[in-house]
Amino acid sequence: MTEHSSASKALSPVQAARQRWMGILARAKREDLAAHEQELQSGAYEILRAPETGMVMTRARVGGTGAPFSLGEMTITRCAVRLENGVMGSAYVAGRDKRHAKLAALADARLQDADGERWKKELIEPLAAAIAARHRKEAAETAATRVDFFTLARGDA
Amino acid sequence: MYVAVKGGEKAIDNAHRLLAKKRRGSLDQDEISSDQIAQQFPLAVARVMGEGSLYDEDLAALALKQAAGDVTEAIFLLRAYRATLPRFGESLPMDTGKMRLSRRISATYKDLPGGQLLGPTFDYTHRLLDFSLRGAAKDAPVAEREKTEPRPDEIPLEQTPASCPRVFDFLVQEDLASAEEAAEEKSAVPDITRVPLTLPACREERLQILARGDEGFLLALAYSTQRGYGRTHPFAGEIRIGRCEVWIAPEELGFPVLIGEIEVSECETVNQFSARQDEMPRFTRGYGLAFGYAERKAMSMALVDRALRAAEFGEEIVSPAQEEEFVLAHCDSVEASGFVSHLKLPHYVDFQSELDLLRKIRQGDMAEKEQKSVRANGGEV
Amino acid sequence: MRAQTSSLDGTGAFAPSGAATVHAAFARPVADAQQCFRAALAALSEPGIPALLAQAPLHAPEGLSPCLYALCLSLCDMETALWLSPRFSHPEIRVNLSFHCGCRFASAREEADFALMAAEELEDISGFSIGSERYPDRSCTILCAIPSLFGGPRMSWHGPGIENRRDAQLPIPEIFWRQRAEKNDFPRGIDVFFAAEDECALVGLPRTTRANHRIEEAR
Repeated sequence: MTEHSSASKALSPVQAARQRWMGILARAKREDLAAHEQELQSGAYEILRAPETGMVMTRARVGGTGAPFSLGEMTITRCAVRLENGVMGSAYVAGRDKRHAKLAALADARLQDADGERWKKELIEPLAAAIAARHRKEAAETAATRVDFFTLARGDA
Repeated sequence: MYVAVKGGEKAIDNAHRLLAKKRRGSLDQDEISSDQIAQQFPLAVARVMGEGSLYDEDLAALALKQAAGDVTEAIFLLRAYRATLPRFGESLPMDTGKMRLSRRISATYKDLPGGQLLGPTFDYTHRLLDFSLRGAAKDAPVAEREKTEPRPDEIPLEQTPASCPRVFDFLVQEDLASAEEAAEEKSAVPDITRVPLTLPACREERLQILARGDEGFLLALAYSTQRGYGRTHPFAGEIRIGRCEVWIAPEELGFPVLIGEIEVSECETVNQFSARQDEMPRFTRGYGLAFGYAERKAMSMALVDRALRAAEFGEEIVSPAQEEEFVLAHCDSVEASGFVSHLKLPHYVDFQSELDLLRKIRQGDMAEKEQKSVRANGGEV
Repeated sequence: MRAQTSSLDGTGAFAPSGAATVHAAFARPVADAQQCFRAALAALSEPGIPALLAQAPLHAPEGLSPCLYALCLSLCDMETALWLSPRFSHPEIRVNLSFHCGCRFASAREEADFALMAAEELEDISGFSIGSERYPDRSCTILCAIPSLFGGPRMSWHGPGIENRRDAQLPIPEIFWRQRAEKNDFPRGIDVFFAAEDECALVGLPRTTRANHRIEEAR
């Protein structure tokens, strides 16, 4: 992942970077985020939108590629914060974990702030690596179940 | 006339207490946690999420625990909870072609690009009870397990989504099946939870209803089409299970964001060919998609989806699975169990009137019979 | 998050340094909105009796009273279209309502589920939907800012939710009453909430309430 095929073309580099880290923060394990909690919470900030759980209607396409249809809803939690210097951070995270959403929103704000590069290196890249490692492991487990067909020779060889 | 009747509060309280006791079972056993259910009953959780129409593993597990394992009751609980949550929006259409696969098989091509990935499947198990699972058997030590597990670096990662094209892509390339394309993006994607259904329904609405429909009902209908009630001659073109990214486009951000992944099961069937006027015959297709690991549900859904397309292909509608009103109006387990369960409500007055009626009819009959017998006896009493 | 994303009418993104700033709204979004909804329900079920709002938003956008803003936060969501009268059509109001409610903004009165208006703008309520015979609930509900709930001509209200008669003295244009009477055609019609600017209270005027001037009554 990192971008969405249908709508990523017109993004500015700044938006594209933010899109990437927001996706990583959303999929991070809460424990991994919580390790940075103290630093994320430090300093003054205002809660613009308290962590709130709701639903998103997931859509898929008929036959995978056809007209969009409504599949069913999923839970989502969102949060928005503003740092003292006016930088706004947002989070949209699948599930109902309010603490995760708040930490992700704070991280989004820090990442846009002056110290963003450091946050990227210390928070985002390790999270991204952890996600990639998880995916690799799962893919390997699945790959091990691939069928190798062989044909039995019949009659005179 | 309705007569209000009150009473039974104490009996109800005690009944609830007894239910809690039944749910808990013997206190000699540890209480099961909903986390354990989420982790160790993933297929039951998938069914509750799918038919409850809300993807949330923790909530579905909690519902299962609260319902003492009654799946239909758990689905009801999840649907009810769903009604208390605000909706923030809709996702962009998921790209199931980019699913991170945990299973992918095709019954139509042996050597398809990407291969046959069995994944965690009950197929090839012998359906013999495994008594080693009895009680809380100790897990094998981690080191022991890792010995038998494949190491990530040992296995070439060939099944990236890009290397696993859809089976229908091959058929479409050869023009042996028509492409599934969004004709023109409708201004609003149909959603039967927002706009009440009117018949005839469009395919998008049908798929939404089938996706939240009762698995048993859909399975039976799917089976009926195979036994000749609306035959569509299906092949399991492709079955895919895996994790799909979900993206939303919040207005204030100005760009779409990934909120997470959900597990889905997808099935596409290759069905008997059909030719529209002035066209070459082509295979037709049925589509199924369900939350979680729900292969049987996705397959049943695909068969019923195809059967419901009868009118589109000019097929004669003669069987239940082809009857749109019949299928769509009866496949929801919450509605179905609600209406059946309502029979438990007091019908004392209704029944009394039926009783009276029956007695009157019988009295009338008796009187008639007596008269007849009087007449038969030549009027002599 | 909609199929047709409406632009913010050139007010631009939610830039922290722009003229239009996002502020925090309800401190407890769900509980506060529920309490406010409860008050709105009370106002509509007993027309003319002011319902007090216990929960005011932390920070209302400029030009919007806390009471009216609370009403918007409770009633509007992504599935409702809100029409803003000229008086309320400001970037800050739009940006905050869009952020917190996710509502669409109706460009025409006919499309509005809710309309945000000032008392003096009630001179013209043409165009707003009164619903259909089959779906009378698809009418527009007017959310009206009013300087005070008192001080207007004395009127007598009666109808559902009022035992006999109830006095009301809303300071709003006379012509509104005539337009309302012409428009309402039960079960179709328009419901109105009047949100005071001098206190956090509101009065409901459902379509079923009949309003007479006291003088006419006396005749």
